[in-house]
Amino acid sequence: MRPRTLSLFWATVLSLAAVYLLLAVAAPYVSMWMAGRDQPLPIPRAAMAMYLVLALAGAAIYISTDDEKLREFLRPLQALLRGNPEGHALERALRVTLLAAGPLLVGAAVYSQTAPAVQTPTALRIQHPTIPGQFERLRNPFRTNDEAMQRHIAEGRILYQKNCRPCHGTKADGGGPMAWGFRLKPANFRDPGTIATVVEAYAFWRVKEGARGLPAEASPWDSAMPAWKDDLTDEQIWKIILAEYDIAGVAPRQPEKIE
Amino acid sequence: MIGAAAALLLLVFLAPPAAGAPAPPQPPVPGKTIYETRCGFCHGDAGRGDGPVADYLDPRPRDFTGGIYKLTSTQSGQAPTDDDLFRTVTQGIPGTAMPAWGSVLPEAQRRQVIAYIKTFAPEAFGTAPERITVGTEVSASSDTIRKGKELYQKAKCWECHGQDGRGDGPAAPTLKDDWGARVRPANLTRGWRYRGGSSARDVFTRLSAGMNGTPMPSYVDTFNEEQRWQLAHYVRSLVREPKERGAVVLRVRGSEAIPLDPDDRRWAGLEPLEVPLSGQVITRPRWQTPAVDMIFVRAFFTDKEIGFHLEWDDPFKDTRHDEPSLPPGDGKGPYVKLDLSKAGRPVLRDAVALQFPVTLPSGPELPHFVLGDRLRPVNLWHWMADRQGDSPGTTPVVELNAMGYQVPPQPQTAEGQQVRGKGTWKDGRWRVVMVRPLTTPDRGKDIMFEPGRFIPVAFHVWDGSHGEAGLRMALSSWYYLLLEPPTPPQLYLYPLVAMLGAGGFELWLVRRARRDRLATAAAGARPGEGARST
Repeated sequence: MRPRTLSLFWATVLSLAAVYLLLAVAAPYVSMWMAGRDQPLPIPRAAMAMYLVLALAGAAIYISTDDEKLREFLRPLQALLRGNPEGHALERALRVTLLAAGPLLVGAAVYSQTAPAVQTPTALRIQHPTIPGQFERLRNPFRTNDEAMQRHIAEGRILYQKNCRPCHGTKADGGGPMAWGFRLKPANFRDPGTIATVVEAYAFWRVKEGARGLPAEASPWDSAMPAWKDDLTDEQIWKIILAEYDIAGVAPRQPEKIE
Repeated sequence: MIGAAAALLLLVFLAPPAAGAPAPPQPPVPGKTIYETRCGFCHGDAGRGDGPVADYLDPRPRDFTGGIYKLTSTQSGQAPTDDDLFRTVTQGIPGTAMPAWGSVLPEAQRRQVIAYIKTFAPEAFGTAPERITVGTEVSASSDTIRKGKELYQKAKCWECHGQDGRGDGPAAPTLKDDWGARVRPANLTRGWRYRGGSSARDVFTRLSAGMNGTPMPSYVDTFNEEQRWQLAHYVRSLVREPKERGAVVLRVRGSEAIPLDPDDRRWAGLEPLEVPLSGQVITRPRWQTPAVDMIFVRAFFTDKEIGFHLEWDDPFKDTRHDEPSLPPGDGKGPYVKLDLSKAGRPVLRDAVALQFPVTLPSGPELPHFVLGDRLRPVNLWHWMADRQGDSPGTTPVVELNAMGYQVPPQPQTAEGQQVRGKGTWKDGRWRVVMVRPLTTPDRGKDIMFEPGRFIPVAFHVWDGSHGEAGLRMALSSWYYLLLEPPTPPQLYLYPLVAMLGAGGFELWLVRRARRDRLATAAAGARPGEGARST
């Protein structure tokens, strides 16, 4: 008689479970550690499915290499199907439960596949689409760092408070009285991720062309930003931008130099 | 620029902290600098409430030269305390253009600017004001609220604020402030717009101190402290806070029939989608003084029709309309000024519109939320209050199409009009129902409703007596409707068939396994297997 070891069936089940845990739990944490991130990096579902299919195929090949192995593997399954009339009541109850669970699981799977699932529409939005070429090289003519600039800031401040304040707010924090009704909230210029991260030419493009100038990936249909070229001159827009950075207390990004 | 900022900062730190009452003989310089960069564009550099932005604001910015302040904790008619002013500067005034400066200006600077503001009316701040007494706070209970309700009737609060607190009392249309400008009594159901805060203590303070310069009196002489607390709790009980702020999808249930009567009880049984509205500020005429800031939307659908129920607060019922409807913009500033004076103003109706894309989007791309665009037109259902009670066969709803805000929306032909509607106004609130077949023959002009699809929808509201018509309106971004599809019978059939199949297969396996065992037993089982199978 062979020494009592784990039967082939349970060994297979355990190995597959181990592979799954390795992929689902261990790998994300290892990659988090290796990539130096602060969150686990899960394996993509498609890759996960492929790995699991490979593991299953490996197990199937190993089991079917000879008839004895196959028989050994199938033995617990056959025992389950046959049942043991003399067995303990608990054992018999377990068998009935397992057998009943099969069709119920199949039913549940079919239901979840056919039931209409609705998800709230979400759209990915690119916050900073690429600036068009004709705007890229523009410089703010009023950023002169002299006394005249202070005067232009004062002029720009009035223009900002007249035109931009209703949405972007007196404090340039995106909290103007008109921000309330728009689902795509007006930009908060005090946030370091908005005007502080772009060059002034970028801000000029956004003010001048507004929602109409946005590419589709930046969901122009949700944007309440007017195309201010309809109502303001280029000079006024540059002054507003000067004041906007001043009110928000941030500095524009400096354009990179290409030598 | 950095040098200037540093100099400013240095001045702020060097300046002595502002003293309480009488204003110093010389205006504190840092306060002046802060005032001129942060406050002057609205309140005016001379404090007269006439800065370059002032004309576009409703309510107008405070004129500091009179020393009259609305939000005080002092006896009626007296100047505010420094702490009252500090609170207003720090927290801002909800529902107005006054922002909360607490997040931007350090406390010292806020104190400096207050000291400077007081120099505009030195005589008003010459004597120390007397504070109101608060007494022992009475806590809210059904009993205090009930007593407060009686006081609300007794003091005739409803004359201005209306029976249900929506600012629709009979005296409301005539109210003026001390400067002769028209003012509206507060809509007490909108706690998020209470000027001086909506806590019980805030309301108690307003009731006790009154609001200087406005028709809101002090009730110190009318009611004792306990009664004022009761009234405050009643007022707070009128607030209708949005239940689920930020919800985007209106899930629409199927129904046997759609009630056209907006006051039908079946509508009240539905949970509304609460949609905040802003002024149309995207194109001229830009409108930053919308009258309506929220609309409640409900809907039903049958296998043939869909019905919408729209509800919003409007203290005045405007059911007359002068054509031509569009008042011209003033063409000067970027925004249109609010003008509530009666003289020379066209009579305008109240109205509401639903906006849908003409074709359901297949991807994420939608028409622009303000009347669509040239590639993606929108379908509008425009209900108009002046069309109430029209002759039979006509409807108060006009269907239109728009392809962007550059061109006015075009009404559809008479045959294309399929929306029925009905509106009722009561106690400062409009309720409007619009019903249309799910699909119409006007493909390419009308939205076709499909259950199970997300259907973009946006809302427009006009208040006629507030001067709203055309692009002077309150509007929303895109929201979504979902007509919950009826459960198809297959949904239950497929799993049943699958379960029967799986059960049958299992039974067959069991049978086969048993037959095999009998066969092996008959042939004489191998010793190893017999030992294991038990």
